Amino acid sequence: MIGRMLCPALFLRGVTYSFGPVQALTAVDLCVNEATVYGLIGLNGAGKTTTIRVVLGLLRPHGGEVRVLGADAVPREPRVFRRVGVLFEDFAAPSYLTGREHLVLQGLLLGMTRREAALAAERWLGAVGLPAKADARVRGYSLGMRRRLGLASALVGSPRLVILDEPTNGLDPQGIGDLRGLILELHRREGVTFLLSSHILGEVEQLCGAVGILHRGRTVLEGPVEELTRRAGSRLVRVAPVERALSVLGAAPWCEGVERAGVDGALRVRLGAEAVPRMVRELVEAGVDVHEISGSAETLESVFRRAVEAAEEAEADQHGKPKGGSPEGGAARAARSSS
Amino acid sequence: MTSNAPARILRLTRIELFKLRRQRLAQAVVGLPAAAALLIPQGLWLSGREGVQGVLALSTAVELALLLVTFLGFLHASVAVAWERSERTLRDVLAGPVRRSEVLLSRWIALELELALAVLLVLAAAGVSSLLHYRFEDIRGDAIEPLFYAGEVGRHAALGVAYFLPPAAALVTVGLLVSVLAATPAVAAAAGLGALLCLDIAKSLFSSTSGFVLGLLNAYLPSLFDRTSYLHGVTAMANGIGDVLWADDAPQHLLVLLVPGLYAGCALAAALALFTRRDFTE
Repeated sequence: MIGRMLCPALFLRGVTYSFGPVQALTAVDLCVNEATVYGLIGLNGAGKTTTIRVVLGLLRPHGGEVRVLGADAVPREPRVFRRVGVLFEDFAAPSYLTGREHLVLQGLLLGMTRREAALAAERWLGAVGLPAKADARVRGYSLGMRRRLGLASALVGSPRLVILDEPTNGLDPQGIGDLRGLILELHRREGVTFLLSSHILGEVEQLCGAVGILHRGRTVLEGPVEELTRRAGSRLVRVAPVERALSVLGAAPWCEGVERAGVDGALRVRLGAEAVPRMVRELVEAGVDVHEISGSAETLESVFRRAVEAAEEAEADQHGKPKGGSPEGGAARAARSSS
Repeated sequence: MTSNAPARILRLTRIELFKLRRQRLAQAVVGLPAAAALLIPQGLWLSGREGVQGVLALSTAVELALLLVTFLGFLHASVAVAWERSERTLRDVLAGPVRRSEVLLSRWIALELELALAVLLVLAAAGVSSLLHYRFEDIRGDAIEPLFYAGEVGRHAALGVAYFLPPAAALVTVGLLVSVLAATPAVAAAAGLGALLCLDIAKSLFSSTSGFVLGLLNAYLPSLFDRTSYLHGVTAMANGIGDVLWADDAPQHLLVLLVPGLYAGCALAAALALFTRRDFTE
């Protein structure tokens, strides 16, 4: 109930879906507050696109609860989706239409009059940088132009919730910058909620206020980006003697991890910002001199990597077998994607 | 902004009709038969058959052009959903504020309207072309009474169209069912042609032996190549001898409407059931 009150834009709880014998979603929980830019991240095959299809009512979930803009999305009720815009990863418009015609038809589909649809089409063609090609047939568009048209198509109904699946695929650097600017402008000026699915973590970190990490069809971590990166931030602590500091920190419940960093008495300590004063106090009480503390919040990439690793370890423990696949490999793939 | 189902279907139908205006296949369905209907009387005239009665030129043009309408209309219907599915444009429509059943119903209505427009154009083109080259006179032969009164051409043509539309509309509905079943346009087109052949075989197997006049597999089952039902009706009507074959109170008048109606109803129900359950998102 609390979840519902706090999450009017999008709320998923315990959502499951399987394609025949393949379990695509095992337990997806998402809570996207209104007027936020929310990143849905995960490795390829984690269930991001399936989750989006379930949210849009294109797939009927086999279990769990889905609420879109405060209303139950199962069974699918058309009026709920009037204020939802979507850009699919492989967006395609009918090739025999012009960009403008496609947007006008999209406006009509959303219940606008022809005049309203024409005005909206004009506005969004300009916003995405397509006015010069507005009256050319879509079959002549480049991939980047099609993505821009798809974005305009998602926004033409002035939606309250916009779902973007891998929105920067096929865009050139300028297009990516324009997209980022447009999302932030709509978010700040009109309070539009964005659900952005991506495996490009740098892009998510720049845009999103909150993220949900999916792994093998399950939500493994969710929360505000700032909180997640701060909570998992690592500090470089220069101490003496190192061995005593290691034993103090190793036994401390508030310390998420500690390791040697170099040979000159430096330790890399993973702990939240709120635990720093406590660390200093306990080290000093144990007779350890603290010479220097430096470091900052972690990147989203390392948060993601650890969340995936932890999920795989938990899964392996649950099944009593060695870790499946290679979490490092997965993280490395994510790192490559982000670069 | 209205949100009830009829309003949404109307809105979707408008969208579908707009799209049809831009589709080359739809342009072919409407344009090619009309062009054929325009050229056939001219061709007969140019080949030196001046003696042919206007009504015979008209009936020849109408019959051949309507055969083309049925075939192209069926082909278009059989790829209508599969094409959009393979182009990945269907998913965006389904993600909108509409129900799947409304999407399919609006598409069906648009295809039937396309068929009706094609028929109207064929009649207009054939009529104009025949009038330009031939005279329409009573056919007397050796009989005391004329076999055909030229003044009845309009009524016969209207009856012919009335008897042509239900079976042709039913075939378009079957095409739509094929399209919902098929994953790609190529498969849909092949399956559509296969379905036409199967219909003809089924009809030829059952219609002559079946005692179920009201059953689906009787002589009034619409099929493309068999000439025992609606196309024959059209030809007969266009020839002005329909009332000789079918008396005013003959059951054929009802059957030629009822059987295709039942047939189309079954096909549409099956298409709706499949369309609302299948995954069109991949």
